[in-house]
Amino acid sequence: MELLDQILLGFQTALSPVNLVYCFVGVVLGTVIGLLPGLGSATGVALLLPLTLTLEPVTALIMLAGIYYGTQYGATISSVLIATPGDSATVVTTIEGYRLARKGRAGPALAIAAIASFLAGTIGIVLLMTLAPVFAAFALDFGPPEMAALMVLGLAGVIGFTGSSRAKGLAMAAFGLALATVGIDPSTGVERFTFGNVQLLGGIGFLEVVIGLFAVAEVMSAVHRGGSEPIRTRFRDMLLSREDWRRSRGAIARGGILGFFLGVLPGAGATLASFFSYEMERRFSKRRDEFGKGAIEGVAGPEAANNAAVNGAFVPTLTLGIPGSGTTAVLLGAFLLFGVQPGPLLLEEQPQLVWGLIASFYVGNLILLLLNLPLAPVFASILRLRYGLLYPLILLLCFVGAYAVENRMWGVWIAFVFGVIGYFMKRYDYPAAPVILGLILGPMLEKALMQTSSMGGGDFGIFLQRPIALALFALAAAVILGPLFVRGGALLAGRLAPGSGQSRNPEGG
Amino acid sequence: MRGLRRAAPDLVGGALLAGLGAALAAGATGYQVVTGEGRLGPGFMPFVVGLLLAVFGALVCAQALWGGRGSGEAGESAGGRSVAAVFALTLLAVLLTPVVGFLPAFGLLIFALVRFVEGEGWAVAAVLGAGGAAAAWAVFVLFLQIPLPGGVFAAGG
Repeated sequence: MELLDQILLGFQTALSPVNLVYCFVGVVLGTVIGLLPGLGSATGVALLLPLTLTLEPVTALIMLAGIYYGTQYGATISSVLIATPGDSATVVTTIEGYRLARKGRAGPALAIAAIASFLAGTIGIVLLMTLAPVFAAFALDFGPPEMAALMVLGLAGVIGFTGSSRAKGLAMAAFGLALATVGIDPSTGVERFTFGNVQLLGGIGFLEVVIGLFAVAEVMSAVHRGGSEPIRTRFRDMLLSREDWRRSRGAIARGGILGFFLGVLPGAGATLASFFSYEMERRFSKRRDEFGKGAIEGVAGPEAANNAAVNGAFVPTLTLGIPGSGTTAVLLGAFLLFGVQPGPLLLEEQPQLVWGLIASFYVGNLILLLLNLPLAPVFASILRLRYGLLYPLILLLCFVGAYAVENRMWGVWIAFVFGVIGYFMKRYDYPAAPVILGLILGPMLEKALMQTSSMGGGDFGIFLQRPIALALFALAAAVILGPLFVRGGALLAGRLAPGSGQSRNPEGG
Repeated sequence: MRGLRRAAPDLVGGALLAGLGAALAAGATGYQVVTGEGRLGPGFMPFVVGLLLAVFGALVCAQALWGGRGSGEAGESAGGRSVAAVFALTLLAVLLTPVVGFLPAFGLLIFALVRFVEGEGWAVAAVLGAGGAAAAWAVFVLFLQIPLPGGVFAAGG
């Protein structure tokens, strides 16, 4: 069978010695980055992307993806041990995980998190392998109008990763689109908003902006907040009791499947998946009274969900070129830096890259499980490092990376300026992920719109003849306006007291 | 209406974004928004995006004034000053780079941050500064062969 051959090809690629080494390096670095409070997966990928620029694309992407799912494991450790989530997708793990740790059961909490992540990762990879070709085949005969509609849908997805204010999320996406218009317009060759500056001709580099908005701004915000004092925790053992496993297995299966499908939706991502899973377990649990006091299924479910969501997010990223989360937006930018254009054709044109990458998820998850079960206490010792000694080194890494993108000081300046902007954005609750999404999707959207305009001879009525495009536009409108209607309806029904909106406020995506 | 003080950060932020959007849209009319044959010109995208940014920026302002929740931080907290110091020292390092070279400038930055902002001892600061610069040199210059700027004292770099 053809699919089987491709999967085999994928494992051959992922198991080559070079790729295996970089996968290992990626997941270990990811774990460490995830551990450090304030450094999330998007930051980790952005920080280490410059290190991979000289590698083969498939090797680089395997390492970067390893950092992505590795951070989920690392973030769990800091959530459980110091109640400080290393990444927004593990915020919910602090609820039960930290309580378990206080009860002296940190070991089982970490063990079930690692096992849940691994099992859900496996569910996610199998679903990814079966669904990616279906998605790609469906999108294969998309023309410019459908692609334009798809980009709009992808942008509408920012609603999913905005924090408290929808207006701010939309404004940030528009800000990203605005940044994307700087430089030479690819379709007409006209210089736009360069103000005679030669450095601006090539546009504002996405990686430098990401390093500024995510990495530099994260460091500064952490300086602003002040470091958290790590709590010393003793590990009795990492062994699970039969009871723990019996209570968790259902949560893992539910969380894994739910997480994957939420991850596939543009903009939903791992954070939302983990919250949904927690709510689901709490509501339907027979031991509802134990939730909030250290219920192990409250760790297992969300940890399964956030890991599966990471895999789910790769479906739209790889097959449609629409990132499903903030981190996949950064990864999409990485694909483009390596000259690889994700989209429906990618599976056909670069089967080795796609299947190698997917197979590496499996390998990486296995490495993480084997590393985390015995070594979580060792990783945890990183938490005792003082942040005050760490952040100057992280800043150095940020700026060397920004320089290395194109070997010019201009990149350092961009990272610095966006670091300042990003610091204020974080402080006043403007989400950064939509900016990146706008910056990356902007040029693609513009190209698709230009081509559509040419197809119709300047008449946008052509959209009316494309049912799929119309359906995608309708979906985008529903995504943006839907919550408004729901809230309006609730207001009319008098159920929503003023000020009792969503109190959830995840940091970034 | 909420207190103006609490609404101020979002008012300023929203106004900045709206202003940027308006400027972008205005600037876009300088390029062709629609070409002679009725097709989209290079000004179309910035024009539409500028308008959207102006609208969403205005929405942020409106929410700051009449919305239920705000995110603005009241007053200056204790951490504010040290963030300003970190940014200022970083800026200094970037400005020093063409003179003393990239790694010396950022090594000095690490030293200054650890010694003066974090209040650690001279020795710790010096070791971290030199060690950080050396590690970055090993990874980027030696291993990845990325030529970092050497400054006026180094020929080539």
